[in-house]
Amino acid sequence: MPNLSLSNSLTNDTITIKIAGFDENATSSQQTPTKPRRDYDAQTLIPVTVKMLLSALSSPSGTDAAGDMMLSDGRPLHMVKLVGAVRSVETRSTNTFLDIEDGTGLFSVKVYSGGREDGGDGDPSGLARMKDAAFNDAQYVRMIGQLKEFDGSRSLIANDVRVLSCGDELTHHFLEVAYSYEKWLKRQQEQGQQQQGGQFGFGIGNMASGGGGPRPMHGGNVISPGGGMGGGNGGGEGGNPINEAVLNIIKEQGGEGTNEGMGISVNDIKQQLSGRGFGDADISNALLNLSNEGLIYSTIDENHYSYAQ
Amino acid sequence: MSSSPGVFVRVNGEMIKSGVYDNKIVSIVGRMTKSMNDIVEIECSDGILVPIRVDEGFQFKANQIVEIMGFLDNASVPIQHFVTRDVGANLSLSIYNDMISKAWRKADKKDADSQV
Repeated sequence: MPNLSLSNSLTNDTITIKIAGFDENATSSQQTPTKPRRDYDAQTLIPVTVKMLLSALSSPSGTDAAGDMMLSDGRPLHMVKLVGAVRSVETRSTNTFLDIEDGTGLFSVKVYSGGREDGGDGDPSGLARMKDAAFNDAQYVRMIGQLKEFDGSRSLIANDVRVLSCGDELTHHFLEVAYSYEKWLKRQQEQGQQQQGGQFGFGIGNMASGGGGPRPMHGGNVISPGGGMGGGNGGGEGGNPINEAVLNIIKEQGGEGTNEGMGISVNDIKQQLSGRGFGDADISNALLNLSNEGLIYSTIDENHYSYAQ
Repeated sequence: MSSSPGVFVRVNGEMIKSGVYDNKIVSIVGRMTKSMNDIVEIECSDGILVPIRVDEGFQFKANQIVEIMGFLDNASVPIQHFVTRDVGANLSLSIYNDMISKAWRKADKKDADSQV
């Protein structure tokens, strides 16, 4: 336990104060153990329709009674967003059951009655009022929650339920469902092409796992039968041209310890590559891919990267 | 008429007149324009006017955009209303029409094809 000494110059008295709760022998890494990096890819919010929820499958990896779920197209489910009309409301002491329909089917939604804390004067909180406003027949609501299956019965456990803010939200939701699916499909197809060609030296680490295809490999080179990009040399690490270009810049200007450990900023990379026809989105994707492959790492924030030697 | 619970077709005026969705439960989103006794006229999302037979207690509000659920049959007044829903203010009928005529129908067709 460290000591803090205070001395009085007039009386030459010294007071020693022990500081509790601090282990001076601990190193910083012991005090703040590195938390595992959150798997952002798995924490998705997918817009769905009732039919998609009804046709969802139990993921093979689910082992508990509740089970992990995935959509029939292979996308794993974490949180879902659903817009539908309230067909019936059943209020109980601890939760409320809603029957929601959106034209593709009818689904049961469970909303817990938590969050009803008030300021002590009996007036329900804003959140509770918002939920109560949604519990009316024949109105459209938007909900966010998790799909759960227990004992063969499926329901949506909603964390948030609210009335649509405007009519366009209904249209937007269905368009978003279609867009989300098409985007997933396109990514699957692109992955399939990359896996088949063996042309590139790495898999796309940011793809959410699912039934769509083999899980991409991390950590460097996949040697293709034809030799592909090879292994070990710098030219093969990045893979496609944009990835290689970004990686080269980071190697040259963002090595470990450069710029007081901050590495190189994303804006600098974009400025240097803008003249070569690479868009900001391409560069951002390249940074994400290289980061997932372990070739670069973010330093002070997500806008600064350094080369992982 | 048999359909799974919660399953209905979102239609516009053209789809109603095509006859493809006769004897089905449909949903029409449109603007209420006129009321004559037990008939209410709706301007569908594609601009086509469609009469709807309503019950006595139906609340008509001119120019209000609502969703009307009803049974579609091949009659002079093709739709028998049974549920009205408020879809909220500021709904763009043209965008909604694009959604149901392109995205929604494309999804329906995919489903139909997959069941063949």
